[in-house]
Amino acid sequence: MISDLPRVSELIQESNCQALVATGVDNFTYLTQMVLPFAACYPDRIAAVLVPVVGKRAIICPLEWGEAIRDQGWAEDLIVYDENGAPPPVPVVNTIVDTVRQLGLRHERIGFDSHQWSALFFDQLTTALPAVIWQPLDRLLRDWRMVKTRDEIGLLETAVKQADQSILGALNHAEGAIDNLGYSLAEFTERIRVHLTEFGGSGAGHLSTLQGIELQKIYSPPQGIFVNGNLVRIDVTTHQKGYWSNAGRMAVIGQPTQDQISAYSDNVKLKTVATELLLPEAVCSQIFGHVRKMALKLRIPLWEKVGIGHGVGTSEREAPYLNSRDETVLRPGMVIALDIYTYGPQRVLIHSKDTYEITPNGNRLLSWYRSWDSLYVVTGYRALH
Amino acid sequence: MDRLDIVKRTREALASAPFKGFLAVGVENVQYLTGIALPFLYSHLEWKMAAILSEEALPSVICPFEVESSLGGSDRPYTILAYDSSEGEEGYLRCIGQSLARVCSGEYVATDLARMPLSLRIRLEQVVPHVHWTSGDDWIIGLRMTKTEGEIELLEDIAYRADHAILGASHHVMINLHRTEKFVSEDVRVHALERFLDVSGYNAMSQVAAGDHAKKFWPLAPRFGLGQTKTLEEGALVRIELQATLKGYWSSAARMISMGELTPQQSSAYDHLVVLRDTALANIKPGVPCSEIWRQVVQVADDKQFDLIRERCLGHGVGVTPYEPPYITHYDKTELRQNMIVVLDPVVRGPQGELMRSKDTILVTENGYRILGWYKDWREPYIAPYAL
Repeated sequence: MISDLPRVSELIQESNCQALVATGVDNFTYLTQMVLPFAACYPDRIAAVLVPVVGKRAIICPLEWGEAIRDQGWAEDLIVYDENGAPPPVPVVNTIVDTVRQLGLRHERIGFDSHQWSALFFDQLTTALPAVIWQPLDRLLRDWRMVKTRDEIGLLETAVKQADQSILGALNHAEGAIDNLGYSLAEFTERIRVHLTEFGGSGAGHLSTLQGIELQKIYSPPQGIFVNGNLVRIDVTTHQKGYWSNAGRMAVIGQPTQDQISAYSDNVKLKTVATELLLPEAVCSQIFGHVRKMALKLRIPLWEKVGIGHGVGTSEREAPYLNSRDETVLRPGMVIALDIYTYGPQRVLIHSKDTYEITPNGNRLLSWYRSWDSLYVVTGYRALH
Repeated sequence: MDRLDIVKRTREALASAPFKGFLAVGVENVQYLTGIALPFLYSHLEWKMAAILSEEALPSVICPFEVESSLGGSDRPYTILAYDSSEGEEGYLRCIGQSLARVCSGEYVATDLARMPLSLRIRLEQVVPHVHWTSGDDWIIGLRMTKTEGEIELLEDIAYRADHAILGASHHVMINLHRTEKFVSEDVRVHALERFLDVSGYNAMSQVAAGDHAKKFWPLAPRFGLGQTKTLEEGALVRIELQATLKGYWSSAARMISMGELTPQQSSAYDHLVVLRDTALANIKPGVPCSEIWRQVVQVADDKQFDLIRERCLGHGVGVTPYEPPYITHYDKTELRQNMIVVLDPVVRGPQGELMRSKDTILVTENGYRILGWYKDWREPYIAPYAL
């Protein structure tokens, strides 16, 4: 359990609320330090946390998740609702209503994460609690979550290193296996997950391996076998106790062409430019602007529409965003995944994603298990001995 | 070519609906309407997608620039409006407004309010004032619940491959070879991949639980669906779960392995599952409400004193998500119709407190039902042998 999280109850009180109810999966994990099993993928199954200014927090969740929460060390209130009772979201709404009433909050101002409440959920809750003043606290939650505590940074660092090791583990298995029967992208992707297990990771989210012309896309399901000469892009998100890494690496099957080497080198150049700008007091949009300017100057084809990075925390992508619009000022404790996409041969998308902690004097690279300054070359043959 | 006939189905449904257009913002609803399956959309909340249906035009897909290049996987026609996600909701709203203005100005438009973020609804009413909004949740759920022939064929295929994958992994389990939960969990996924199923990430996963772990729905929290080094002991009941996807559609599977011949108590507990399944099946035919199936199963469990876990549904639909309506619950009065597909999932406690489940995918036919995807007869669990 993270011990150094800000006193959330005090922050809620500063916003003139008496409590906060959050249902967004990332906010739930942030406010409780509990991880739910793939909750984002089950929109009909909702878990909520109620954080009062005074008193214990209460988690409200379906039966199948309750034990998992206790097993993670939850010692405060846990209220399990019967999904059998009514169509979603009525059971969780009723349970929240009962809890609010029991805590004497039915006439109070209560904060909530409005961007993650469905309109239907809100309508049902406000009908049942007409005297509550519901105050969106999305901005406040966003700001709290952007600056990480030491413990949070520790979890993120573990997550990003595990991701790096997992990718490398899978690449190690690929070496020497390409020409033996053909090595499938699906198996390679699965090996990333297996290595994540072995290195102690808590779970995998996005798992993607693309090669060749498919690199023009952000994603398609892994298919086929590795082909000599192809560039490969590996994108994974993994978590350590609910804190996420968001990693991307490049490899090439067999010896790279000069075009491939140059394209990767160009990406690294821009990343170096960006890294030098990741400083406290730097403005996200200005970092983006400068990298964009350098890309033009160096004639490196940057995919600028998508920005060049984002935060990570209890979600895989979160504020702040390194794009043309985000005016967030970087502060020590922020954790940024630098994600600069450039175009390579045949307009394929290349990136080498790294995660940095913003420190009082600059930044600290969190994610290298080994150097990624050059393209990873997958060669070799399998010796039998 | 729309192999699943969704386009035709939705156009016909819209023509007879009391609204002129439908705006889908829920990830699964967008997927259903367009065929676009991107697993990370559930967690990448700033990459909002939408689909707009109208009678006059091709469906519109609203997407952020980041994913535009990945939309080619669907075989259905639609137009794409891409927006800059750095604008936050504004770019997304602008595209929705443009699309709706073109096809539905002054008309009633339904939307999936159960998925629409509150903040979006507020802004939509401001940005698109020329549209009258109404709830379309029941409409879209109704469409999704009754499958087309193409969907049935695909779901049966996935159910079979998943069952085959579980069996394939099970036959590597030998009592005296010290298999671990992690090994079998991985082996299930490998066998799924060998059958061209997609188990790459998020809730596409497998889980193996034995002994004390089998007493929980989600052992080893927060390491869900990974497996650990616990050895499968002789005499144990082992639960194997697999959720896999293919072309955006899902299977939700679970089976039991016995590490050696069943004890009388284990056999009896497994028989409870079989009896409950048979009770459910006896009631599966068009016209029967899901709640009636639930009632019948619970009645039998009560009469025979089976240790059935009740505070959850006893079954659910499957389609573009592994868990969706209709739900076999106390409250769901949805009447079964031909071409619905449900996953029966009663859970009972075994003699050591293990949670036992053996999920079956069932197609509602014209007069009854058909079990989809049995690789083997699951009236008994898989019995692990000794290796020679």
